[in-house]
Amino acid sequence: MKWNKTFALALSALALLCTTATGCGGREKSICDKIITCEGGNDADRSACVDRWVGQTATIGAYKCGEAQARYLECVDTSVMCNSGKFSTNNCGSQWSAVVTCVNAASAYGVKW
Amino acid sequence: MKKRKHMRITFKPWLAGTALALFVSIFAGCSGTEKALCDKQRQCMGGNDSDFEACVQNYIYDGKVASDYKCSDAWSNYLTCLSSSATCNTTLRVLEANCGAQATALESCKQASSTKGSKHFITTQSVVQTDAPKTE
Repeated sequence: MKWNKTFALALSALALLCTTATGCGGREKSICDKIITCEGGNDADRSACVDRWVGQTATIGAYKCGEAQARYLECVDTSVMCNSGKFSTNNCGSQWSAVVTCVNAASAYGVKW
Repeated sequence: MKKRKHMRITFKPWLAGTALALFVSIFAGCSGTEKALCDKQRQCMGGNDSDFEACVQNYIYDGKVASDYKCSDAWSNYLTCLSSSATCNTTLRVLEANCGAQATALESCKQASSTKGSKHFITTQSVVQTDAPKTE
């Protein structure tokens, strides 16, 4: 019983950490792995890339546009191309537009992108 | 007849203290300056609660990126400068700050740690910018 309590507590702490920290940005990590593989970069670049993308997700989440952002991230992650050492995606414009529309609707003064 | 077991929940001060410390460090302790700066921004530009929260998140993750490049000191100097010197341009309704030197030092630090030089911020789309104070 005691072990169960400890396990439940640890699980709750982990869940809390996942929702508040950068530890669970799986999609962002996947995208950054592809970017670094394509364009190069050291460990600091990889971490900065993940934090930059997770930060973007957090900022967009502040406007309650997480679903639109998730669709955009999925699109980027699944349609990434690497041409001559340059990362690009060509097919995610509509998903990004949905994010922008959502954020601008929720912001009092519009957001610069 | 089998006796039913009851889970007794007892208050343990050390456990409560640890949980509180964890909570504070995650939610409040590390973003005081960012919140103060975003509060200034809200007073200057207006904005709703979402704008404020987005502003805070933006600064927090900028700090994380700086930390990734081992430039936390430079970031701290920059943030302190913004926080202490940002003033509201009431005509344009934007915050302005004279922190160009700190911004340059921060950028130089990040570029020195990155193998990608000035292209160390790598995203396909622009990251949300919530009108950070303009620096010279």
